[in-house]
Amino acid sequence: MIRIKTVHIEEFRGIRKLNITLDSENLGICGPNGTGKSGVVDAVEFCITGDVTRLSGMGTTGLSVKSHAPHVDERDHPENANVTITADIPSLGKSVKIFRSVKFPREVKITPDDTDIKLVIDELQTHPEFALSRRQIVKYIITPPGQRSEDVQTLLRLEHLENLRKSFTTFSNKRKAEAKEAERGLSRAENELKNVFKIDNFDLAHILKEANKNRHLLGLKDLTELIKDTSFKDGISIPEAAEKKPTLHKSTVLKKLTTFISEIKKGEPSLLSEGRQSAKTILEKLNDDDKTLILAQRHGFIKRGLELVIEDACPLCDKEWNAAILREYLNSKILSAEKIKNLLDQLEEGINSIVQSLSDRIETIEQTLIYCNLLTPPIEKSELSEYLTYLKNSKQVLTDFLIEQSEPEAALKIVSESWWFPNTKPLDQINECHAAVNALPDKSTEDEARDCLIVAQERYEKYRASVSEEEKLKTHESLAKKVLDLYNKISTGILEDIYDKVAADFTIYYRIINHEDEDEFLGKLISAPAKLNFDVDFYGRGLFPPGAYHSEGHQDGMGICLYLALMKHTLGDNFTFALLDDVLMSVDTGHRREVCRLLKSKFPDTQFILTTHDKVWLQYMKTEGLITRSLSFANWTIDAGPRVWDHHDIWSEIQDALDQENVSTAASLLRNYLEYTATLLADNLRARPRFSGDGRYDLGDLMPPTLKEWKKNLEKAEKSAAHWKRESEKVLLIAKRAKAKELIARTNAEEWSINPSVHFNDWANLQGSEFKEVVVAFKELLEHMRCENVNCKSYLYIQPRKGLAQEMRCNCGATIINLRTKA
Amino acid sequence: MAKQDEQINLSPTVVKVIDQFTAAMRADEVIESDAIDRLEELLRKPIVPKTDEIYAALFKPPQKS
Repeated sequence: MIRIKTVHIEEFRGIRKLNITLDSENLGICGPNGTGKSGVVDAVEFCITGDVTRLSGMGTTGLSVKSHAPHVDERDHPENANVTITADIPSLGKSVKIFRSVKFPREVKITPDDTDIKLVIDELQTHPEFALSRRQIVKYIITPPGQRSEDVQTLLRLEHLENLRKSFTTFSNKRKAEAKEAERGLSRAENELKNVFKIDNFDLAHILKEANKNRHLLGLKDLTELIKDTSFKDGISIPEAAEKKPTLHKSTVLKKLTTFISEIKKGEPSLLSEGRQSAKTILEKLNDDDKTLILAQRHGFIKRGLELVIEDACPLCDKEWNAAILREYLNSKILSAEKIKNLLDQLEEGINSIVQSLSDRIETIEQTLIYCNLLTPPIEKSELSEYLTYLKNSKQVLTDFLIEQSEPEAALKIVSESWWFPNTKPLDQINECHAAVNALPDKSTEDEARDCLIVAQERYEKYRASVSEEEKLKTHESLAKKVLDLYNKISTGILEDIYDKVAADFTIYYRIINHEDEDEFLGKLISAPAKLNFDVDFYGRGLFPPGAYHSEGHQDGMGICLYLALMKHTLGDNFTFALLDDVLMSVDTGHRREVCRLLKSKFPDTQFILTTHDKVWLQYMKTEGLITRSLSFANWTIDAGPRVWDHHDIWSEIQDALDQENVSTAASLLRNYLEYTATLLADNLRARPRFSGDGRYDLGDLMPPTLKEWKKNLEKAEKSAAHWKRESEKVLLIAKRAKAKELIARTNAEEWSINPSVHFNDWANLQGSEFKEVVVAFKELLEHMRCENVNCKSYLYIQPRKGLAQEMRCNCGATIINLRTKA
Repeated sequence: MAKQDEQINLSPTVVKVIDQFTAAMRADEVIESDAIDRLEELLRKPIVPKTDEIYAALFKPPQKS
């Protein structure tokens, strides 16, 4: 990964021209909505990947990088919209310049043209997750387990495992379907063989007996047993012509055709029509709700897992679990899927019976077509052939559904149609065939016996082949299932190890940002084929999905923590760069400092670019030392883009303006800066400005009550020191309060509301030397409110944030002022 | 060497799964070792095998000329 030094943006999104210097450090970007700060994030993402998630993700139909990434006035000149990044690559100890133009978004120009550098940039392009936006933050938190599994595996570059699982599953389902078809084929072969001898039940001993009866009539030796090489027609002399072209066995064929026509006339059997109706109802349900199918597919796995719980350990990964708790847990998971799985089983049964009927009908039509051919002259059969094609297609659709268990729409169409009655023309052809067979001359008893044995031989061979095919395909089915089960067991076990590590990091991170109220928090990622459950502790009351009880703010916090844990696992030491676009906004205010500390303490080698529209957030980032550089975006216009203010050293900037005798600019800078700072201080000191319904406060609203609170707390601290008889502290605090009074008086801030002549609105009208005094007064006052440790310098704040104030302290702990007068 | 080259695009975790999976198959006496060899060769390629390829690996040994 890289660390960015500079970004140069031209005519991109809402930005006309902008140079940003980061020097490989973190950067905070602040500005109200619509001021173009996300344009910077888009530009960096575009330069590195050639894509802009905002223009290509979900809900962006009709948007494209080429058409909509250029500034709106340059939309017909994408060649003018481009981004250049210079960066360091710590792992290589090299620097790189990356250039990309919107005109050719897939082409990146890398300087120097170095193979190692190219590999790093290529790798970056496969990790667009380095950019995380606010709307993506809950992606891993509240999505369904199936989707989460895919998203997380994609992030971890493990989608190959999921694709392998799908391939093995389809492979196994196909073998299952083939075995079922072979079973049906065997059943048909048995029926045909028994029908030759006009017996009711398939029984090889009975068939042998009937065959020998026919052989007796022909004066042939009895067959002793039916084995693989048995020949019913052994010893029969067959004319050469008959060997070449099989003849029709009139009575058998006539019986078959008569039964067939009679079945059609009787109408669709109630079992079949009820089966179709039941399958139709279920398929309609599945078609309306695609989640139902996913839920059903999980059922088998959980149920199998439940059966395998025989000791205090997970049957898949041997991880320690109390067996009773694990059973209870799995049962709770299974309940929701149970009903759906029953439905799917019912559907599978129904479709199998329809497929069986279709197979029987296909077999009969194929036989009838053969009869049509054998007759002299042959019977015209084109319509019958079309009917056969239709039946075969219908069977294929239903068989495919049983294998894939997806896209129920096509299967629904098939089960909704009744194919039992052929159209008039094919039915006429069947009747014609029947009439022609009926008109064939009757044969002698010996001829009948000979024909019977010849046909029986043909069908016995088919029966033997069906037995062999069924055995083979059942073996395939069993082996395919074994391979799938093994793969699922191994891959799930390994994924669980990974998820355990990610969950452990996630738990640590979440505890850091919520240590005040969720110090015992625990998060668990539980993997199973095709899904990834995510459960979190809720104040010791048990593990639940994150959306169950936690607030949205907490869920957003979880989103950040899980994202960071996943990135750490995916990239390890290469996680050197991340763009967090407004993702910190919905973290509740009480935990923002902790988020800053988390990023700073756990990811010291990662360069963060963070955007926010909250000034206080920006200040937190600064005072916590997360960022040293920041940009403020304001007053965006379509023609000029955003006005960008780099306030890395406000006092130098004000001095520069004063040196140029530009009091107006200096006054504006000071006012803006004090508005930022007053917001932060008011929050730190729990000041009570007059409430504003729209949440907007100007400097006059915030600074006076904040300074009043500052003095009040120093007074409290003095009383506390006196109460606890800490004389030396008391002396220091008296001096500090006196200094506060003096500095505040010099700023005139307390008089803004009563003395218009010293109001900050009039700063721009002061002489340079007069305004300089104001600047010095505020600079000293703000310095006075900071920790004196040069490595800290954070503004003091009240602890805790709510309830009775206990202390006023800094971030590093060097300054802790007791406010309590009771133990 | 060819095997290593083919694994360039497979993540270490995927390789770990394939290693353990093929070892577990070899421990099963029912599955023929030649079939496992053919399947393993398929799995170590960077592309996910199609179901027909898995079928051929497990059930259809290549014809010897």
